[in-house]
Amino acid sequence: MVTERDWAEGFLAQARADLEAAHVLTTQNSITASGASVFAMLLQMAFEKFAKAALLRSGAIAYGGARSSHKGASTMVAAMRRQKNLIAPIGGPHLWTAAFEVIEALERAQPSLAKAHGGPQLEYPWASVAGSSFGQPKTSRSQTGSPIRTVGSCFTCSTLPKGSIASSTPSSRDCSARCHVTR
Amino acid sequence: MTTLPRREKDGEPVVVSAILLSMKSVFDVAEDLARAHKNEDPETQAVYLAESADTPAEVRLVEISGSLGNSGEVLPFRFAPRADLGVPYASVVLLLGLDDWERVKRGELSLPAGWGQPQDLKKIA
Repeated sequence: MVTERDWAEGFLAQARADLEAAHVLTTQNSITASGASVFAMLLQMAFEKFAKAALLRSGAIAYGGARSSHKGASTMVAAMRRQKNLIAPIGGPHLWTAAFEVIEALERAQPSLAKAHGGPQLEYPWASVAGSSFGQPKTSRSQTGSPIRTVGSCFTCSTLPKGSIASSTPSSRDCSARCHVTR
Repeated sequence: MTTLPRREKDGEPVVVSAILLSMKSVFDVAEDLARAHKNEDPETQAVYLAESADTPAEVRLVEISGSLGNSGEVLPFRFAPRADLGVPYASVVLLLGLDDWERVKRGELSLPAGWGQPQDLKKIA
């Protein structure tokens, strides 16, 4: 019989696979406009599955709950923010703050959540709440109007809502509107 | 001065650290965590401790905050004990937005199994 632990390990394995796929995009110089949206989608999927794996592993939810949940990643982040003393061994807030922000932004762009506000989405094309405009991830522009573009050794991921940032350089303080990932 | 117990088998001092002998109670650790969590999120309105006879060595916190969205989901995240970091018990954090907390109190959402009823929770912050 399949146990919750089996499901947890399955979610964890798939989260790692999503993350590896995202990594492949960065290492194959594939971060084009459309590649950036796929990269963001893969990251969102990875974080969501990591959170569900943690919930399943602790017995907090059952498989059915994991399938239907859409707020796992941001809830995990909120808990980690509060337990900052306990995340010190894995880098602490200095390392994780930027990651938290991008995880939350990615989740807001998850289609089942983003449709409520009509903003940019990952994975699927979308329409504004009023239905007057249409968008799709691969051509999404940031709220500052900047298109997705490659910039030197980094790329700017503007598929994410305002306020999102991911950085592999914790010293970055440019957390206002863009998502930088060092290749 | 505390006298550490000795192991009868070989006469060697038992490695029972002073940490264990002076370890804080679940309630004390819960209060410490609640204080730290409120500092982290000033919009926290209340923190409750769910006491459990089944798992007495676990700190179960229910935290209500205006900073949290209302998802209709009850997702408790568990953290392993880290005595070296001042948290010698496993801690489980259940975060609820204001509306979700009202739904819990009305019985429309349930606390995790084994956490009891909302009225059984002990307010600690």
